[in-house]
Amino acid sequence: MSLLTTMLQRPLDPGYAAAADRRETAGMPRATSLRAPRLILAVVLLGLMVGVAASNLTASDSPRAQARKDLIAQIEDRRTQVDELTARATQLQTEVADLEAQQFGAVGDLERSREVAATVGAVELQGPGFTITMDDAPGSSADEADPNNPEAEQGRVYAKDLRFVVNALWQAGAEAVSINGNRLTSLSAIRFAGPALIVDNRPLTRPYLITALGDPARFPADFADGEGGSYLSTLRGSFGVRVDTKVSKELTVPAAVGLNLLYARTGDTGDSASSTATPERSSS
Amino acid sequence: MIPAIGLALGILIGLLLQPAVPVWLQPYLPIAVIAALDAVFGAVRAILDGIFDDKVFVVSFLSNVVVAAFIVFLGDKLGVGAQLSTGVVVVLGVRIFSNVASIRRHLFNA
Repeated sequence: MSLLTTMLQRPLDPGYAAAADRRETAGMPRATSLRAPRLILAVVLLGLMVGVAASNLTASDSPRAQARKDLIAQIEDRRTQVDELTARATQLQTEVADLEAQQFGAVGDLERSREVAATVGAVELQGPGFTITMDDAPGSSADEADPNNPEAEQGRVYAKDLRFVVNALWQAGAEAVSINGNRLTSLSAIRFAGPALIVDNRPLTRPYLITALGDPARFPADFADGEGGSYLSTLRGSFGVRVDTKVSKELTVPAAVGLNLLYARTGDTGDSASSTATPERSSS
Repeated sequence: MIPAIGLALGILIGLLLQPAVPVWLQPYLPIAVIAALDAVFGAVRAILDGIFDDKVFVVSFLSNVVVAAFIVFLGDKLGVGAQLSTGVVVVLGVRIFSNVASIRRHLFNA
């Protein structure tokens, strides 16, 4: 404890006492004047330091906050860009469809073309079906959950959950499926990057709204009775995932964006129906 | 009185000019300020004790700042910068508190 005692009992620099003693033996007053130039200089320097520190340390934006702000701005920028390009792509797709209609009006293949376009997801579809809304269990989403509590993450909706539900939907006879407005096509992938869910390279935000079109008489019941229904009830019962299904007579599934095939080709050249209706009206 | 005016002048200049501190210097700023405060309170106490010495003050001020900055620098290099900073703050804080206590005894006899 001697360290603490010395620290507490003699906090004053012993140099002061020593200097005072020295001056006293030399016959001078114990204390020196307060007007020495070097003292003034040191004091101004000290004040400058305090002032600079105060102005620097209270500066509102630390570099980290600044970087964060920049990143958020970038994300928002890119998101608007994506939205604009999506709108443009949809518009161009409509144009293409119109032009196709003009072209094929004479030939008579329009019907077939429309059908194939609807199947692959190139056009918007309406019809009866139902929606499934899935959301993380209360208190388990990425921004709420306690990172030290791995249990909390169990209530989260994972990519594999969405994948399973979507597969069960196809199995039950779904004719078109979209997740949060992203149409699922033969090119779609449901992936994850950390806690974020990604459909076709677009991140999803909670809640996850799956829209599926299908036979109103059988499709919802088939889904509920099948693997999908039991999977959802397990998610709800065991993990607290919020699941809400709603049957509806009139639903809309948007057209898919970016149906571009770069390498795959149709094998034939003669059959106009298959070569025109495939979604390969792309880069070339 | 004059030193107090000098101190206020320095603070004013610092606040008004807001010179940009290079990034590598920024971690040392808070610790240097604490060290400087320790020197100031030590000086005030010495004045009240009647044993003030300007040379001792200037040297102790400069050496406090340099040593504190060096400890933080060393801590950063060794990967224990935060802990060493805490240590410096604790030691200087205790000194500041007991200096202020003795200043208080001088001024208010309490």
